Amino acid sequence: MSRQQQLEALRAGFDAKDGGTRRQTARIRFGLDALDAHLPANGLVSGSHEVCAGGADLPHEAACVQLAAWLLGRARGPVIWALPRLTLFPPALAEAGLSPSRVVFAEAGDERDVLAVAEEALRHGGLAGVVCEASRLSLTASRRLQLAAEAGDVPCLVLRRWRKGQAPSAGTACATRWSVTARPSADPSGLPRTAFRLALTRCRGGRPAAWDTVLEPGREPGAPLCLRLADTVAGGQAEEAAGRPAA
Amino acid sequence: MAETARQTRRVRSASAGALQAGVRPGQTVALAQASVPGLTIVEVDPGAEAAALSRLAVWALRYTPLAAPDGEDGLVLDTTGADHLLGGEAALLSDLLARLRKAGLSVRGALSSSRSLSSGLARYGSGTDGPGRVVPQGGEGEAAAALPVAALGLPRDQADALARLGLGRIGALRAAPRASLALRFGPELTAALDRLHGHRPEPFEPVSVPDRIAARLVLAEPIAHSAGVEAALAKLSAELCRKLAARGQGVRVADLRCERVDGEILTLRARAAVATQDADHLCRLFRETAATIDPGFGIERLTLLAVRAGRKEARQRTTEDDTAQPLPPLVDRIAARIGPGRVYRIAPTEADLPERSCRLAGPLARPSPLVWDRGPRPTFLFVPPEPVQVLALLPDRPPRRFTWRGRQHRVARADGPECMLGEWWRTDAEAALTRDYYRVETEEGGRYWLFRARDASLGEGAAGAAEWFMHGVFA
Repeated sequence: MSRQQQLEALRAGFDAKDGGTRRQTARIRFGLDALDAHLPANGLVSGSHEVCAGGADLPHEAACVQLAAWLLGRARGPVIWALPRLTLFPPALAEAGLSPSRVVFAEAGDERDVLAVAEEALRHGGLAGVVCEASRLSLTASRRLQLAAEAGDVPCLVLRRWRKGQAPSAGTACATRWSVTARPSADPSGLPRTAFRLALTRCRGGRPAAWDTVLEPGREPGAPLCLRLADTVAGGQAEEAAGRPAA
Repeated sequence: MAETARQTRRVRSASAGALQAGVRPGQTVALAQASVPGLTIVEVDPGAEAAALSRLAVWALRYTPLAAPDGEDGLVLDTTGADHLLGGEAALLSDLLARLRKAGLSVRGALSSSRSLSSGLARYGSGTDGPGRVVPQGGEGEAAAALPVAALGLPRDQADALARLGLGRIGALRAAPRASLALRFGPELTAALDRLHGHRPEPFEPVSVPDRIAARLVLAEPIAHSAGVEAALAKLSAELCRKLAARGQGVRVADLRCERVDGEILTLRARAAVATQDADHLCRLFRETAATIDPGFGIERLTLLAVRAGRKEARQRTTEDDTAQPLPPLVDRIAARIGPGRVYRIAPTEADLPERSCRLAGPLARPSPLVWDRGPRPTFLFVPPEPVQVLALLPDRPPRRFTWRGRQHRVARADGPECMLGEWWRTDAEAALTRDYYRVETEEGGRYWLFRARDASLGEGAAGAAEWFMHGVFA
């Protein structure tokens, strides 16, 4: 067996192991090199991506919603947002860069119907993405979502919150699983900024990692929000701030 | 109302006011106009009247499946087996008359076991009967006795001849020997008498609902399982869509009626967000609910009816909806599963107060020209705002500490205030309302939206009495 053939065989073996994630193209990129480079396809592929709250408190859930809205704001096309009841405040989505005219909400009542609606939307295809708010997710349900997302070639963001002080279970099938924890912002301006720790706890074809990030307005006025590493923000400007007397 | 008969314009009917002024039906129009100056004359339009009457008959199908116009000025309803739905015959009749009266018609009605008797009572019954008389089973003879012979619907000369003989009332006619009556006036008279007493059937052609596009399937072998229903549904939708396509229409609301062998009728409804002619799509809309049908001993007849059809319009794509897969079919399928009102978009409003800044819009609504750009808005909003205990060093400064839902938070950073005023045109209380919003970050990293409610009518100096509320949570 020649060296070339050996390489081919090895590649085929890897593909079989990680479900071909490496071959897939990213549907949504973070626009942050450190993060995108860490993911096997340099971004989120079409598949199920779980966004878990890092704690039981509302700020963590808010960070999940904001992250999902921001990610979908970076893709083109309509968004189906399946939820048991509308708890979020839609102007916040607009602020994250997801225009309300792109979002169709489906208020399904219970989580079983939320999953059914999400699956229907995923299989339909042609969407920027589907958001599915489901805190309790069985292995079977998560597999169905993953298969539907792959079939429809649409990324699915599953928002999972804590229930009764319990973290969302990890025994589910997904392409990536993120844990989002709201953090104090280290912005030298002294103003509150959207800052969270983004921990990649599961990644098909990749390794877990964590980043402290901030959602910041772009350099020019009116530019969309962009994601930055918190330590570069703080590191670059912290010394500067340290030189000044405390306000 | 005037009509022209044999070159003479006569009054056909008159309003209550005109009757009081002395106008009588049957008068010549010239005489009526002479006796009542300023009389408004409307020409009778028989075509329009007949059309209105048949529309009314279609409306009356809400009471019974068998209804038809009766003569020029009546409706006949066969309420057999339908009266219990409204709580009995009397309730049905009074409901029918009340609704017609509400629509501005002056009506009389009667209900009995014979069509002629009902018609006679309604048209010739005495005023003491009230507007709607219900004749109990077996009471036909008694009810008919007081009616004039005109109620039999005989030719005019026969009625006159009977009156000359002193047989002006049905009761007298009944008392006369039947054989000699038949000899003298022919068999029509005795036949009419029999009809009046319900001894002869009087079938009539019921109106059918016009212009409903429907597909029907009558099965020789009743379907006994839901898989059969799905197959039948596929067949019916294909046929319905073919009919729709022929008219250039699409269906918005469709009903599937399944008639079971035991007489039970099950109805399912599906709605489409935009008019559709797509048979597969229509089928899918029903699929979710069709599984819930209980075929019982079997379904023998299925009807798929386009309850609301509309012009199928080509929708211009907007850049934001620009997608290879059109959205309406998906929206329909989701709505079929969870309910039509639960799929929606949220559109901005022009209100300042955050709790009024959103409104529901249709799932396929066009994008609103308005945008939310009044400043940072929280991801979760509490409606109503929740009171918090706050420690603020200065009245116009953000708080240093606050207690919310039993937990104390220390504020590390804050931004604000953003001042909002109540909508003064709503209530007096709102006119005085002022809110100063602060976006605060706690030491743990939670970001919250707090506001201080002030009553502007108390003046600036009274800010110490201000109350603080938690209104939302930011990411």
